[in-house]
Amino acid sequence: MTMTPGQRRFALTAHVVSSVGWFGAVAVFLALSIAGLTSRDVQMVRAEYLVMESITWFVIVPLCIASALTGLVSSLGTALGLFRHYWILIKLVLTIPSTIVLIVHMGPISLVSHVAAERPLSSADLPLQIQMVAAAGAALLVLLVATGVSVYKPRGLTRYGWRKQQEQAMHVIGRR
Amino acid sequence: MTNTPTEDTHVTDPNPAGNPPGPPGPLRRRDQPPVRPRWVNVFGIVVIVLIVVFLALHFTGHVPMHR
Repeated sequence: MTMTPGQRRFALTAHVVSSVGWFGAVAVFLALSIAGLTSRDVQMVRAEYLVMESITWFVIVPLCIASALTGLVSSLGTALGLFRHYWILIKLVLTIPSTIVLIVHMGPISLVSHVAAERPLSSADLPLQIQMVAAAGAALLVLLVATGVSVYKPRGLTRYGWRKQQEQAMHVIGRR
Repeated sequence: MTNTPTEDTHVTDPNPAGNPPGPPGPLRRRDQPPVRPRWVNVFGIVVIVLIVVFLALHFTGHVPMHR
């Protein structure tokens, strides 16, 4: 299925907006997790962990899913395809596992948020707090790589892409 | 500044035959499948190393897990 230029631009706009939003929301999550780890203000720390769960559920997860879906639509709806260029394949390899890891990671995020809602965090919660910082940092790094790959679009056709290109070339020659 | 009415369909591969960039050498024929670019190999190695490091940390108990 090939989209019209208008549909293609709409899908690309939605993909860029959701991806950039995802990146920004993860950056906010990282800032909050660092503040939660380093701040000495007990009330502030509790508030930060409570906000982190809301940001994750209502901003990061929807944008993550939207980014993956619009990326799939943008690639499958154009001649680029999903498996023809290495840069698209690598974005897929980065995005899908990141989405799964995020969903799995909701457990610890909800846990630390519930702990913060019930009582002030103690030194026993330190590993969980460090995990928040490490996970957000890793997620930001992955998204940075995906953004870089999208912007630079490093060259390289997969064997499948090359085969498809050959088929299209033969088709064009056959029509002449 | 003027907007050119061109259709942006991302940059497609300008080198479909998969010839490596750089000084001219023996060119790959268009009917041969492309070689995998070096950056893809580097990316793959980095990802494998990171997975191994994560698994090593996980199984040695250095990754904090939620209770």
